[in-house]
Amino acid sequence: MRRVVRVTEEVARWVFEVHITRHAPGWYIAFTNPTAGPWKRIMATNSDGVVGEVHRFAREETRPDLVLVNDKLSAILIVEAKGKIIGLLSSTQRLKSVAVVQDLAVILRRTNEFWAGRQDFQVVCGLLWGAEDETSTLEAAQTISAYENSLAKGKHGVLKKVIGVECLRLPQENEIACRILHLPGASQEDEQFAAKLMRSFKLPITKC
Amino acid sequence: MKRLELWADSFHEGQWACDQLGTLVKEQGGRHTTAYEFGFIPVHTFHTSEWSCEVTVYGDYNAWDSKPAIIEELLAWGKPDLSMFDPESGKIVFAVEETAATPTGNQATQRCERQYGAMKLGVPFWYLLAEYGLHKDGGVRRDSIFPTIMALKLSQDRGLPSLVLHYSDLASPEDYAAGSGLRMLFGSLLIAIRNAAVGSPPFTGMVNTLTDQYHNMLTFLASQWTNQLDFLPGVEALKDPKLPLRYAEAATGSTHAKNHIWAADFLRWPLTSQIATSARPKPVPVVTDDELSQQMELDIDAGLAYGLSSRKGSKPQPPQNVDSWLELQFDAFIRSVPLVPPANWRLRVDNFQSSPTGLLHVTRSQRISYLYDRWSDFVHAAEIVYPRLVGKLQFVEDDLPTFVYISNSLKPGRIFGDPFTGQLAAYAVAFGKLDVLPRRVVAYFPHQAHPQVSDRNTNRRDNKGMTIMTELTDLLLFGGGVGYRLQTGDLL
Repeated sequence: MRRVVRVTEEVARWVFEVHITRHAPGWYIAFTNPTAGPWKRIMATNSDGVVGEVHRFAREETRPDLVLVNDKLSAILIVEAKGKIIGLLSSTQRLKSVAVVQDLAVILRRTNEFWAGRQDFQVVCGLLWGAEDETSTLEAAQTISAYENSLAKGKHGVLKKVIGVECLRLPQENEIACRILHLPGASQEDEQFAAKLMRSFKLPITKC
Repeated sequence: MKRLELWADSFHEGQWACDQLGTLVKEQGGRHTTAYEFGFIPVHTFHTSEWSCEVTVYGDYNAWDSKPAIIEELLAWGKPDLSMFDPESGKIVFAVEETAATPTGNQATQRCERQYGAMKLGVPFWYLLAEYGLHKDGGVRRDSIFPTIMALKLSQDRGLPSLVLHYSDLASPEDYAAGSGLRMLFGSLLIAIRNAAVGSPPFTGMVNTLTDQYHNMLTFLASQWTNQLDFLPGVEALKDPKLPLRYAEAATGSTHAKNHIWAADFLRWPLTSQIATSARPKPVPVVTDDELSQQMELDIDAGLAYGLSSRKGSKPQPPQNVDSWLELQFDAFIRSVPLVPPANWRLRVDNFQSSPTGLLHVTRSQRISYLYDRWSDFVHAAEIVYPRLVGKLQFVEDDLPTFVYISNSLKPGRIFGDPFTGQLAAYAVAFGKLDVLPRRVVAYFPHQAHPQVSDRNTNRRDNKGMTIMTELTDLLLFGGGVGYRLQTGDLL
């Protein structure tokens, strides 16, 4: 077995996706944006269990890195991913990522045969990053807080609380551990919703 | 059980490939299972009644240490989406490039350096792309013929499978499920895996499927070349029903088949003197005042060269971008080591024509390829336009035919990346770099400054563009008539 030496954006996203698929029942991956490949569409199942296209990204349209859906929780998590948390922090990146989440939230308010019943789901912004050393709660808090502040300025129905996911490479060969990070302080209703959502991922949760 | 490693640009591509293979295995009565080592590294196991194989997927080439040396070597030529490595033999079983990109503009040719790199390392290569794509204007476009021509020439000349397969059809553009390409691709890959698993020679049992694939490539070429070229040499050979089989045999090592194709003069671009005067492409006006482009058109009129297409144009660019790129080019140019004799070069925004939308046309010539009968004739043209080159370009003892490639690229550094590296590789091979009577290759970059070849410390840059250019070109010619021979490092 070869040895992973960098938790790149691709590796971080893949590790999280595999975890979701295998260990977080209720969630499914409606869209993923790997560095290459024929994946330009958000897909979902209709009431007969048939998978179909919900939205096709235009060639020059900016895409998120992951879109996860949980029908039981009526939740959609739109994720921006980077190889390092610092990659998420620049204001240019943050404004771009927040715009992607907000624009997609508007698109997902429309419905079609494969999206019926999900147009009112709660949209949540997620941040995913790879790490070689454990992310400090201060750095995570700064990043999450910056995104929450940017989201607060929009009126697109996106939850005003951001969920962070760190994928940390451990000293043991090829061991990568994911955990959820969040910053308490949203409204009670939002915190309650977010708590259910975070628990559903079956990952350790850290308050920043 | 045989163990292989599938190196992939992304885990998803590796997983997708294994799932496609698994579907075929199951159709043949076998089994396909997937496990995840360390919770994320996919390990696919294929069982049939005759063989079994375990394939571990390593997604994202950059994330791993101890990459096999031959994988590193392959990546230096450009990064294929999939590379199947056999740790036991130390060889790459196959490499695959696949793209969802719409096959318009330079998209199709921009990955062709990977075709070339695989050939260099003796790796069978498949390139899967859409035959039909939706352009942003809403119309349907069809793929370029050049990846196909390149693959045919590599297959024949190097005795190695190099295939271009198409998915989609007119009714379903960009749809992987439409057309025959996807199934053909994975059918072949499965045979290659089986051969590796049972220890058979790599192309055992592959001639029939390769024949079908070459048949599709030749059919595509027959139906599409008139849209892109003024003529196709040896076009009569396309009527030979045995041509696809000949390619399959040549690709799996038959010298007889290889010679049979050469004898048909198929895809061997003739000398101007071999084309009837009435059939020769006529000169066309150049779009801007580039003197070398104008001189090459005069040489077409004089019967010294010909061009193959006169409908090429680059995407118009915003004036502010053109202005800033030209400034950067000029800054690089004046930082050059002293040139003997000196060169003068400065392009300004007003050297470029405005389009109706206010963007600037950056196209120099309507052609991007000129085929000279003799190196000396091209040298003469270059010396007329750039007197500083007099006496500098007689570095070859022969006087071989010469292919001149023009890139309109303006942005600094772009000529070493996509799409120009792949386009240059495709055209150099298509127009004869590897032919029995090879053509020399000149890449002309009228908007680019020569110091980009090296960094500020005059160390040569190390990137896939430099690798391809060093391999395939005899001369780079930059703005102001400054030449560079990458094989020797001579600045001319």
